[in-house]
Amino acid sequence: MTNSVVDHQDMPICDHRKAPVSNVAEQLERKYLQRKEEWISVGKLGFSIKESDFLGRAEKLERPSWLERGYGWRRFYSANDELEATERVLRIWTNPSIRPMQISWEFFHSEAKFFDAATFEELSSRVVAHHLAAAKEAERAMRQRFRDLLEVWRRDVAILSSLDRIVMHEAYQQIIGMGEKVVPLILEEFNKEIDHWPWALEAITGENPVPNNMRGRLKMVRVCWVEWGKARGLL
Amino acid sequence: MHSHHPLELLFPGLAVSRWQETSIKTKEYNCIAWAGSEDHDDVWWWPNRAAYWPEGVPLNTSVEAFISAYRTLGYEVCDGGDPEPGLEKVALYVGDDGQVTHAARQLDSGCWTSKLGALEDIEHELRGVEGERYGQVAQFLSRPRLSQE
Repeated sequence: MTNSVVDHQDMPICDHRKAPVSNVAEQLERKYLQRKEEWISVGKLGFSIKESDFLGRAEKLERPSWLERGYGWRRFYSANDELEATERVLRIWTNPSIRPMQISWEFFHSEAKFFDAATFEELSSRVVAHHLAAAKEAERAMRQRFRDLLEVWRRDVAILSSLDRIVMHEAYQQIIGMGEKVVPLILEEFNKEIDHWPWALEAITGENPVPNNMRGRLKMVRVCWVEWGKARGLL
Repeated sequence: MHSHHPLELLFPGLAVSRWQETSIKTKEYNCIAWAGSEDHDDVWWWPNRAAYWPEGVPLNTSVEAFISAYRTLGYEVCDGGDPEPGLEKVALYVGDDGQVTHAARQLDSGCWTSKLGALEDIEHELRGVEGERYGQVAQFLSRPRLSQE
């Protein structure tokens, strides 16, 4: 496709739109519409989007632009990383009820070309496969980064009693900086070996399941956090 | 001779004094807890909300705060680290910034016992762990000996 200004109002829409629109699709559409102003402000294609424009229109306008400029999939799906992008891709492309979202032929063909797909089913399976592979690689890289930081941290703080210095170590702070996605890895590690993880877990999650009378007793503290993680499906 | 032991690389003072390992590595307790009592082998003491710290004691790493913390266990400031019959002593180590880094407890034998961070307990001479990492001994405390090693 091209990015030239054309009258998209008359573009044909995929047959999938004839299926009943689900709540999920409506929610997605609302979300996209909420983001429309942002897309307009990006203004890379110079379109003037009218109030009456809808989901498919915004997608078909902005998607090629982002691809060309290297913003990529994560940006398209408003995701922070490949894992989050995949979660959203799966919601969109594997749920039949999502199909009626107003995907224009233009959008479909640009995607189909990108993934060398001839049918919607082929396209959806390849989109999902693409993102699952990307997510798998992202998770592997995240695990490796966690292991690397963990090794440096444990080596450097081994002789310290100062909990302040232990938790302010650069590698420990970088682990915290990895955010919520590292919580399952921390819990997994904590379950294997006691260590000073409560500070990081509280910093990331904003929660503290440890009663005051257990503070400093890492064996008992570990039980509290492991139970907390299990209750949330994180472990 | 312990010249090749990893701990002697971390604490050069150990290489020129007598010392021995007396436990396995563990993160269940630290030197501050261990110096306070041999019963404290399951808790990490530090003035930090994620560790144990006696109620009402200032949450800072000054010598005064640690004296207050050990007072909750019956310790009081004393003049020196020489063994005295019937007294159990604690030595506080401070870094260049004057903040507490480490604590050791005197045994009946006159030797000192230290928990080294997340590593082992050792018996050592008082000056054996002084140096770049733990600084220097700056304060002694004592209490009537409660236990028999």
